[in-house]
This record gives sequence, C-alpha cells and structure tokens, in this order.
Amino acid sequence: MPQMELDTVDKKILVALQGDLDDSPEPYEKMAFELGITQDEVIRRIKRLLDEGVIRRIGAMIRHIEAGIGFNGMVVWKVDPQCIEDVGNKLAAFREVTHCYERPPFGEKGGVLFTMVHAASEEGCMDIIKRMSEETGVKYYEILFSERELKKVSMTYFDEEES
Amino acid sequence: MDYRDRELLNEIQAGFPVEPHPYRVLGQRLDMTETEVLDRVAGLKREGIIRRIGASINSRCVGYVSTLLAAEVPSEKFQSFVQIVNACTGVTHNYERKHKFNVWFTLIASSQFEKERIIKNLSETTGVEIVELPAKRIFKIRVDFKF
Repeated sequence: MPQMELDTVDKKILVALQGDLDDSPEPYEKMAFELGITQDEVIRRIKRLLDEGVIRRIGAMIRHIEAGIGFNGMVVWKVDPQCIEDVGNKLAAFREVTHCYERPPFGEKGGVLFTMVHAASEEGCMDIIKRMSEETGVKYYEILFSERELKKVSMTYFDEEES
Repeated sequence: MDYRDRELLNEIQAGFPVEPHPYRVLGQRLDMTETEVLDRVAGLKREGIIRRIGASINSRCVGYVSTLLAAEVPSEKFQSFVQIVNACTGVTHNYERKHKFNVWFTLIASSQFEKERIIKNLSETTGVEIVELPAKRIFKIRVDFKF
C-alpha cells in the first residue's frame, strides 16, 4: 500500500483523532478551533482520509472484555498453498472474525492463515470456529485462547513531529 | 448496560458521523434525542466500556510498519518480560495465551529499521527469544462487534 501524501494539517487532524474526540455536541467545531481552520475543512479532510483508507473507521473503541465479549481465540489454519486466497476470503466473511491475515508458517501444523475470533465464552468461540471449519472444509487448525489481556492501547503516531 | 446502550454501541463502533452534529445524527438513526445519546456515551465511558471515540488509523498509510510477535516465556521470567514489553510505546496489544508460545503482542514502529532495533533490544533485555510473524497478506481488519 503506498504511503499517502499527507500535509501538516492532515497530520494534525490524525493526531487529534488518535485521541478521544471532545465530549461536546460539536467535537469537530472544537477541533477546527484548535487547529485554526474551519469546521467545513476539518470535515472535508476527514472524509478524504476515510476515502483514501488512511483512516479505517471513526467510532468508539470498545473494551470488549468490559462489554461482555471476554474471550478471543487466535486460530491458525493449515491450508493448502493453492487455497489460501479462497479460504482466507471465506474465513474473513464471518462477522465474529475481526482480523484475518496470511503470515509465515507457525506451530506444529505450520498454519499460515491467522484469524481472531471473539465471543462471550470459550464455548462460544469454539462454536464459531467449528462453523468456520465446516464452511471452508479445513480440518487442521490450532486454537490459542486468550488467558489474559496484558495491554491494549491505541498507537500514538507522529510523536516526534508533535512533541 | 441496557438494550438501548447495546443499540448505541452497535451504531457507534464504526458509524460515528463526520458531520457538525454527530450525536444528533446518531440520535436520529436510533430514535433518541441528542442529549440522551450524549448522556449514554458519557455513561459508557465512565463504565470503561468505551475507551475513546476517534479514528483507527492504517499504520501503513502513514509510513509505519506493524508486526506480530510471539514468545515462549518461562514462568520465572513472565512478570519482568511483560513489564519490559508493555513499557514499549509501539506495543499496542499484548495477550497471554494458552499455548507453548504464551505471550503474543503487536508492535507498530516508525520504520523497518526501528522495528528491527526494538525487537533485538527487547530480546536482549529480557533474555527471551522473540519470534516474528509479520502479515504477508491482509484479508480483513474490521472490529465490528454485535452487542
């Protein structure tokens, strides 16, 4: 993916958006005031950054453990090299799958497709994983259940430039 | 958290409006007043369910590199390993998992060189071998839970 052309104002907007938006009814107006530009420009630039894929989404970042989705399983699927694309797309289509990547071979089975599955319980995760296996026909997989969340934060980009 | 909070969470995860009055727009979608949306969001933040409202940024598009790291950490080193790894600002997610490789964490760095430097440094400081599993292809990144 090419690196996008971002000017100073874009970077300032991204820095503001990697934190928490102001709690007021008009958070973009507040941001515009702080950046010394109009709210229209803030909104226009954010929409462009969304369209270009620099911003994946704007929304609430949720602590899923506190919200009742306390378990996640990382599942590593052993897939025939010719089927990676097809199986990867099928696994990614499950709503409960938040992340699906091809990575270097891992574990005893040497699986290369990595998916993250979230549910309220380990049993809930298992049910989803079984459906994923049935849907794709892939029988060899390894599940690494979460035991404990040790850290979860959002990245701070452009740290050097801003400080 | 009542069912109206759940409806709000489903809507606000990915669909926070980029408009002058985002809470009013959310309210229109959910049949709530702007004030009710603001109050419920404040409540969900107080309860720690909403961590923040903002952007999820694609690290590659802003010139950063990200990777997944795993380590087989013996119990006597566990605490110090986690402490050292978590102190690293580019480490954004870290999980203990039920596996021989019991610690899995993500790292975002400002360059390939910086990434290598951090991994080498972490490995030397902790005395634990770290395995890197960078993404070769991304099929999906979409955090969109159903509440």
